Amino acid sequence: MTNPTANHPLDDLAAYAVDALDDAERAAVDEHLAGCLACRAELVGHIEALASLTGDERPPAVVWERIAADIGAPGMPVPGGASDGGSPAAPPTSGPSAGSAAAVPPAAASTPPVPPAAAAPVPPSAPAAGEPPSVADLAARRAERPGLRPWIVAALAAAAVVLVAFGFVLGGTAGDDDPDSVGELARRAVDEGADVGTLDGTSGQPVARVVDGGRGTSFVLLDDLDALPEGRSYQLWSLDGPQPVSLGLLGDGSPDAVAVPLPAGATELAISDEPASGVTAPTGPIVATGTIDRT
Amino acid sequence: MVWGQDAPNDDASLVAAVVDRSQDALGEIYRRYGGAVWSVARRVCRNADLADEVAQTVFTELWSRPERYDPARGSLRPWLLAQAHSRAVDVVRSEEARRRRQERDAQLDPSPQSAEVELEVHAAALAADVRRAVEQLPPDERDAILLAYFGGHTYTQTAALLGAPEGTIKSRIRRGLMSLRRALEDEGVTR
Repeated sequence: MTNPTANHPLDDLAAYAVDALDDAERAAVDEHLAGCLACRAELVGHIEALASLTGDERPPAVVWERIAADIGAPGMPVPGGASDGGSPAAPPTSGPSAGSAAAVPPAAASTPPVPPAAAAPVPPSAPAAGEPPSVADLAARRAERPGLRPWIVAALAAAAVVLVAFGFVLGGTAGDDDPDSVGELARRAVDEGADVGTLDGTSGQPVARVVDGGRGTSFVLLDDLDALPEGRSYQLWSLDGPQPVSLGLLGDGSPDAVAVPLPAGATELAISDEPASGVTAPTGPIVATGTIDRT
Repeated sequence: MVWGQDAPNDDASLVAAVVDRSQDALGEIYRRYGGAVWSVARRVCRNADLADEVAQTVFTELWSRPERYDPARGSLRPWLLAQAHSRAVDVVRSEEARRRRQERDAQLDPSPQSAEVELEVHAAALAADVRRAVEQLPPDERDAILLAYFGGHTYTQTAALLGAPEGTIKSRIRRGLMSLRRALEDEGVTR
């Protein structure tokens, strides 16, 4: 239903601005906008306000590399220097006069655009002997391996780790699913030779397995993780992106097979011990990590 | 190559230079706004690979069809973010539909979504000055906007998540956007 005010579908226009309309309604608003300056102006106000909700982050260099390749400029360095903060500032105001050579040599190495508020990375301290590693420590160790995005360390070591829960948090459903049927499905998948990855615990021994059941279904088998006390749950994380992404709660370890929808690209996994309601950023001890093969 | 000091600086001129096939101009636009484009894509897609693709598409589209940007439709940054948001939402919805089909195929119970956790996450991701503005909104308006915008949910899904009628959600979004504009002004937020 649209706002009855005049002939302008103001409510639909607002939903349009946040991309919350279905296709038919969106087409109807498009048609209205084609003939209505007032609503076009209103829409501009909406999208400007919404644009304020987003800050800057540092895209991986590969994003520009692919753009450059697409536009016929392969090898063009990532625009932006490391030192100027990358904010939408005016070009340098002082400098050589128009007559002299003002060419700046291209940067020798690609540097991604630096977000205005980038903090200097704080090197994580090594964990005390016997203490479970924090997520930042794990990231530091991983960052020493070649091929990893270097700013994982900076992002994780800096202030609040912001987490986006992928899709949904499994919550209490881990216990509500019939454990026998989930376990059965998981074992069948293992028997059929589904991809298996292992997650190792703090002693380096495997404590959990991830079985790719195909068609987007995966199972986590908590083979060797202790049952947690009441009020706690294991939580699964993807460490593939710049910040850990929750892949759901795994329960307290007593149903030892849990179905987890693994998003494409989730290969670096970790399990932590958290409050039973789940958390938006890892807070508890990491009990298992590993890389799974998604071929 | 650094965008030269004698080169046109305003966004409209940059886009005009892209029309003239200036790769450096596209690079400068990427330098200015690529971070924000990628950021909104990442927040909505919740997946770095998908975010990469969305960001890449926004800029290659700008290269192929720069004439689609009309300064009368607002300044370049909000326009690029709107493009990114719209593509990211499409990606998320087709992923979501695929996952639901697979859950049905595997006869797994679909898991309930939690509005509270999502809302916390979306609010936590805001910069401090913006978060102060958003916190000024009446809660029902704020929740509707955060879920619809960052969650990528349709108004129908948002209504289900919040346990409210669909028409109510649309009007909360509208009132929320009006409140947001005022609050951003009050907080002196400029982006």
